[in-house]
Amino acid sequence: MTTSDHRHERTERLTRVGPGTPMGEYQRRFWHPVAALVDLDTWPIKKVRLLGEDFALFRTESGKLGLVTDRCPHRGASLSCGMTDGDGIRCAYHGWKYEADGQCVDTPAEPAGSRLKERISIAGHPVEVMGGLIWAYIGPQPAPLLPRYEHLVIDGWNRSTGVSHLPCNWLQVAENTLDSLHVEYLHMKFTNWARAQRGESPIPVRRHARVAYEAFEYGIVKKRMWEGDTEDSQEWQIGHPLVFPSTLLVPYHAGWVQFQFRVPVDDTNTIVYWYDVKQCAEGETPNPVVPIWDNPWQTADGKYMPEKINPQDMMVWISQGPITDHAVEHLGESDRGVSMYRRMLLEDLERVERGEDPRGVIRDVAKNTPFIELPVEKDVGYSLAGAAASAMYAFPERDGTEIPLITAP
Amino acid sequence: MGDYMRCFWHPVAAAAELEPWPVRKVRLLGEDLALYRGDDGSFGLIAERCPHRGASLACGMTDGAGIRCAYHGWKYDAAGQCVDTPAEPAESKIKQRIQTAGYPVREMGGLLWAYMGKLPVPLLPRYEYLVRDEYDKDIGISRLTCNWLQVAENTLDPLHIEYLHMLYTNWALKQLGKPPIATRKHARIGFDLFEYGIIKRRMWVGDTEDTEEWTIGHPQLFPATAVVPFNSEWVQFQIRVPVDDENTTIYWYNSRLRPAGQPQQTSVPIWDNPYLTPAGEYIPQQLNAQDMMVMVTQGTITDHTLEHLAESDRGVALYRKTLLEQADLVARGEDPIGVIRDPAKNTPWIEIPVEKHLGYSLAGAPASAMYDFPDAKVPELVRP
Repeated sequence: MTTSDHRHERTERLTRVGPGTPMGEYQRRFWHPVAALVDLDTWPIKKVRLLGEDFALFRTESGKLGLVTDRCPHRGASLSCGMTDGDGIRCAYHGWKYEADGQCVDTPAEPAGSRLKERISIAGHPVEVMGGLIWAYIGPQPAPLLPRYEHLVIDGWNRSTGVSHLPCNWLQVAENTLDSLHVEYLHMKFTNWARAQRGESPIPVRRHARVAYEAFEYGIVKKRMWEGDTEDSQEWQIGHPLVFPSTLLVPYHAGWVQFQFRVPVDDTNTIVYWYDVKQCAEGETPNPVVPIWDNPWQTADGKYMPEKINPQDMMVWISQGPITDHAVEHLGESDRGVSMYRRMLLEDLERVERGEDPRGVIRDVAKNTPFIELPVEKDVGYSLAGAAASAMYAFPERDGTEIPLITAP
Repeated sequence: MGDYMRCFWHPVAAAAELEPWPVRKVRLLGEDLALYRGDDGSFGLIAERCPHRGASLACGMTDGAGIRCAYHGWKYDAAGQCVDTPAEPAESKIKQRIQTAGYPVREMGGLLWAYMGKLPVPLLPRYEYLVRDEYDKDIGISRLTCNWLQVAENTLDPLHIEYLHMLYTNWALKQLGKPPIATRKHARIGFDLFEYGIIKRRMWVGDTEDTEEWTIGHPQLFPATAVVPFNSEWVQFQIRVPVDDENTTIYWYNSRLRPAGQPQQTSVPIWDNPYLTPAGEYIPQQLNAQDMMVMVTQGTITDHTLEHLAESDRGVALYRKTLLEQADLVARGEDPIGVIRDPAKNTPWIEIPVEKHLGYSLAGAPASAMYDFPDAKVPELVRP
């Protein structure tokens, strides 16, 4: 086997998430967000796709949530086009009813004495609500704990979530976090080139002096030091993490952090939840609901948005192709965070194959209570202020000292 | 199944679809075709690809009773024979060697019907409500991304009315804050083979054996056309056309008795009957869209090995079994049910059994964007 064949095979191992694939089995050890709670407000049933499988997500009249296989075993119509009833969901076509555990409990069109329903069952999976998101676990029992990360659960903070639907593999999205240097190029130099095309003034740029990546209990912490800064900056001392399998926690400034949850929909589709958590001002009451907004990567007429920070990231993820083949990449020294992430994922795939829990699976209630603290710096030594982050918000101005403006050579 | 389907005439378009442009691309049984109305008013249907350089004849231009390719002007008559190659030298005989497929196409009831099978061509069946002048017609058109059988077998499934169109309708209306429609329950269902297909009959709980729904019922005309009544003056054909393995066109063909004193129709109007909103969502409270939702969500071609057919699906099972028998007949060189060659049977029209009075009403829910289910007094049963 050539090196290229080997790399291609490893790409397949790292990217494919359907049932029975190594990465699919690994991803099935984790809880994933499948919708925002408000997604069920106007209509209590929603079709969701996770790890290559289609499901019907529903909320009953009493408020209970259920997640079952989308296909009705009777004649194959979608249960996500069905209706809720009591503690279950009925197919719209002939009314077959399933409880949240997937057991068929009623086949009303059949003769009264029919025992057909006893033989009919579909998959039903646990779902829980946390932080305004609906989380699902579709892996083997016993289900691990749904991790209570500090900024998802603490009081006194406002939460909202953007959502993006990307036509590419989840790994291209997730590994961006282990690539510190792209901030300097994509978000600074390219931003300024794009702004120049539009006749707009440049934003400040900086250069990396050092980057570091350290494994920790829940994933990898990424640290950076800018040219001109010292080792005692928070970005170098604390940094911020990629929580395995694929969640970024990133600070904007003190009092504002953002989770980026990357959910593998299937091999070639990924949903990103841009989950903002902002500290309430003195005397402010937090939002009772977590609102959701659309964070598109293309304009209504199908164009990329080169001057916006979030769409820049989505542009480079998607343009790598549906599943980028590692055999045709050329990783350099500055990509060592990406290499480390891939290597650690491969180690975790082997753990799962040996029947062990991978990094990030939590079963100890004491660790999960009252919440799990994650390392995240409060102050960052750069600002993308001046460029829009998304349709909904701009990158905030940095508090404190001016950032030195370096003109790119 | 392709050979079987080619034994029948199928609508390929409504005549109104050749207004204002007289040439149109159509697809039928997996073949791409150019449909046109010649300058003399005659219709032609020939293979879409020009044998010269492969451009689409559906992008071509009519000339006399034929059609010319837009690219280099090669002209074909309705039989597919090339009759002119104007860019060639005057003495060229190449046109004599050039021929493409041409199929018979005829207008009836505002639809253009095509026959793509073996010769001799059977008669185009003159079903009563398609040809009777005292009925006004209009045609809704839906294009579904699924196999034709999922669409057609819905007719042999009487129970789905009780669930999809009554219980689910009321659940959906409730989500939208609207009042429920009347619901009933089936007491008995029956299916009978007859000369042109299968008749479906039903009896509701609380009704007796002398209702028209039980003594007459209404048919599935083979291969795939439902004839359903709305009331004593309104019948709807649902003509399902296999576009290819994974696409089906439905013509929702309304035929309504014209009120006295109204002028006769001069043309049959068409309208779009979508199953998705412009935003791409299903339309759960509309009756036609409900049917299309469950047809499409079964997948492009639903695999019967994954199904669990039950006692209440015996009409579906009968339809599938009969279709397989019919395909065997065709393989042996015989005509299947629904192929008509005797002009006496086809003149002035073929009567079909359809009850005139229904024991249920879905009034209160829209049937489509264009019309509501008509009102009728029926006993309302509240479900436990």
